[in-house]
Amino acid sequence: MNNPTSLKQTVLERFGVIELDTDQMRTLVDRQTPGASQQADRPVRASWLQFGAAAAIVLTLISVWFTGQWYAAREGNGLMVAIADEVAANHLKLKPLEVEGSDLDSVFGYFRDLDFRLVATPRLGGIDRDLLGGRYCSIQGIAAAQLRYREPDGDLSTWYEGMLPTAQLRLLPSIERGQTPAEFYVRGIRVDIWTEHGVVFAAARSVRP
Amino acid sequence: MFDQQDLNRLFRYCCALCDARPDAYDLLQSAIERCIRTPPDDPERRIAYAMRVIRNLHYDQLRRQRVVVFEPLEDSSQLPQAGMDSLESIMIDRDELEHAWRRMTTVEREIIYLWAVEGLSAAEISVQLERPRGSVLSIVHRMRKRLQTQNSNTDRASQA
Repeated sequence: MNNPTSLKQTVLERFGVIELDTDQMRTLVDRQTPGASQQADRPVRASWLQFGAAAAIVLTLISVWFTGQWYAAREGNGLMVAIADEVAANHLKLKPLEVEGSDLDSVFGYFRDLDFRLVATPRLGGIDRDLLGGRYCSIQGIAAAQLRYREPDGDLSTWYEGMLPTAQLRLLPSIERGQTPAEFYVRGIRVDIWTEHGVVFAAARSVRP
Repeated sequence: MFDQQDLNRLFRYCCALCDARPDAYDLLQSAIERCIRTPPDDPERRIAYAMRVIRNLHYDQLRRQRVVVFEPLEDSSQLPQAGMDSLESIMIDRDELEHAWRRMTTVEREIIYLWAVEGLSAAEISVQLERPRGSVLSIVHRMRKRLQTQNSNTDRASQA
């Protein structure tokens, strides 16, 4: 045990040894220098508060972006389901062709009343399918062209080309963006949907075993 | 504004208010920032001004953390009081002081510090603490009683 002294003396001794260390002293002296950077020497707690606020902003922006992406994906999926259902129903009806022929240019020439130019998609190639003809139709209420093919196995397939507003077009898989067609099975029909050169494509055919 | 001697003096005051040394340094940093932004009108009274700033910042922080002890508004004239000189007779060693220091409230530590280190009278302490002189003397009375009880307990323990 230490030797007891008066309360005042003991308190004086206790506080007499307390001093700022060299770094702390330099920081506080420098801070009082005119023009000294206040940013570098801010209290640690203030820095943490700033860091926390910045992190919260970044997290909020990220969550807003992901929410936007999620809504866009959900909206795009809803649109494609509607197109697939419409296309499958049309395919099953097999309405009479308005133009018949196996020459693509001749059949394309029939569709002069569309406000877009038909595109010969490379996806048609590679398989020896026969063009039978085409007719006007609509996709989501907008005029479109419908081409009918006979597949090598004898089944019929229907290919649709149409236009959609740009905002909706962006929600669909794009060949130019390196995406693959979305695949749906509706009413026993397989429907592939994609965009190419700014045109919406939908191909419908019976499901093969 | 503040030289090294001033800064050490203010740091000791922060150490009297705070439990831990890092907290005391944070408090001093914040107070210096405040004093730079709003300097005292009279540079000669910069220490008193800075001590007031330190005290206000510390109690604001305690209120935010909800750890401040709110004492009932007491009629100090009805309570037993003791002058600061009554503390002079208390004999205590470093270990006993550390033990007692940990059990004191912030206000009690502040009163002891201002009296012993800064050499303030009861009237001057009451100005610094912004409370009536009688209230300061009541706190001194309670502290003295407790320190004396602690001393007698220590004596009994050492005799046993």
